[in-house]
Amino acid sequence: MSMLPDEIWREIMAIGVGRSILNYRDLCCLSISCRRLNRISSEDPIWSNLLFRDFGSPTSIPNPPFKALYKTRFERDRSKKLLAWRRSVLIVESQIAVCSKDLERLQLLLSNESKRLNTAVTELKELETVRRASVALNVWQPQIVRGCQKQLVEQCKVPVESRIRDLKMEIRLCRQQIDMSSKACNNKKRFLQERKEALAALKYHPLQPCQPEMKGNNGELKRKKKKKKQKICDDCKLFISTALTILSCLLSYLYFICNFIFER
Amino acid sequence: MASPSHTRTVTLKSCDDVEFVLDGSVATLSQTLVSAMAEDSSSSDDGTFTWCVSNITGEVLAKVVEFCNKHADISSSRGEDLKEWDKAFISVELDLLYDLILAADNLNIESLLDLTAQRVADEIKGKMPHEIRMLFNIEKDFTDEEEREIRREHAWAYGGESLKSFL
Repeated sequence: MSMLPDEIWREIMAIGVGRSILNYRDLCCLSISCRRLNRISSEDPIWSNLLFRDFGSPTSIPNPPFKALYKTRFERDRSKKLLAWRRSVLIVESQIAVCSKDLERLQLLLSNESKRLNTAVTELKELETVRRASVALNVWQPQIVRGCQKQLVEQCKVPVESRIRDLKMEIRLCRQQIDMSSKACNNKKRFLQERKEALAALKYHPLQPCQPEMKGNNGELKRKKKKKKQKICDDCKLFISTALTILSCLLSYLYFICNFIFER
Repeated sequence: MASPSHTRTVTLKSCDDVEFVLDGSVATLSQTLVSAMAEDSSSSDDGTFTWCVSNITGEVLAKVVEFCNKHADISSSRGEDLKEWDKAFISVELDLLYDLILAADNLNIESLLDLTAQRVADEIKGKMPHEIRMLFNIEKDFTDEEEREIRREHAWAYGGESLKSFL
């Protein structure tokens, strides 16, 4: 594509602007991409078209260069647009804040519910043992086993059957709650991710080169290096401890032989 | 005296010797062919006219002929249908798109050039500079200093109002 002749690029940009496919930002992106496209995309006919399209017919006959003229008009319009932009950033940021708070709340709920579930399950297990013991009391058993079981049943103060029923109900409820909460959690997480991406797109600026993929790679590389280092460390430790063991074995063996010789 | 262009048949020959026979009326979509036919005084009696297009392969020329046939066929050339057809026709790989642009330029077929240019503009829309470079295989020929400068020059466009809804 980069080999296309100038006039075709010109045609592409003219058609793009004429049909409202391309805007000033796209043209500026083209400018930043390479020298030739910078030259072609800065030409007057394109920008005069754009000027007319975005700001209507001028009151006086404008003088070229139109790109600079567009910039001036644009900057005059800027405060309004900046306000709109700030508003949209604020909206997205508040969405993110609300969403994070919701997520926190849901996670707290989730952990509380799982704690409740755990206690209920433990209690249920204990009660089941008591119930089994009380059933077992009805048949013949060695005296010692019977004694243990009797003690177990007598120690339990609550009405076993109804308590078990309650616990089962509670566990079911807990599970349902956890299910629902984790689903909501996942939804929130997805929404949060989406909003964060929207915010990043809103905040793109050419003077701050953004290459998140590069950063990610670097991070991974660092992590890998760290891992490698750790592995080397581990290897060293292993080697040293083995060496020490062998050395101590040798010493004790030597001691043993010495003793033997002296005794003789 | 040459017979009028729309009554003649035209044979297009690609650079790898694939031949396509067109109706005269279809060939009038190409300004290059029209002027070539007008200049051609050595009219053969059977009314055929042969034109060799260098640097266009048979595969690409087949696409071009398909486009011309569709667009010259008046009965099918109605608004929405044709738009749909164009949309399907132009959803091709970028390499083929590139060849099609060159062919349209070479044969001077206005409507095809228009369609291909629009597709390229669609590709450019909303892309960041590094994405544009990647998309079109463009080498960054700015020095670091120049790139800083050009980014600074264009910073006005990126005050944050990137949302297209505000334009």
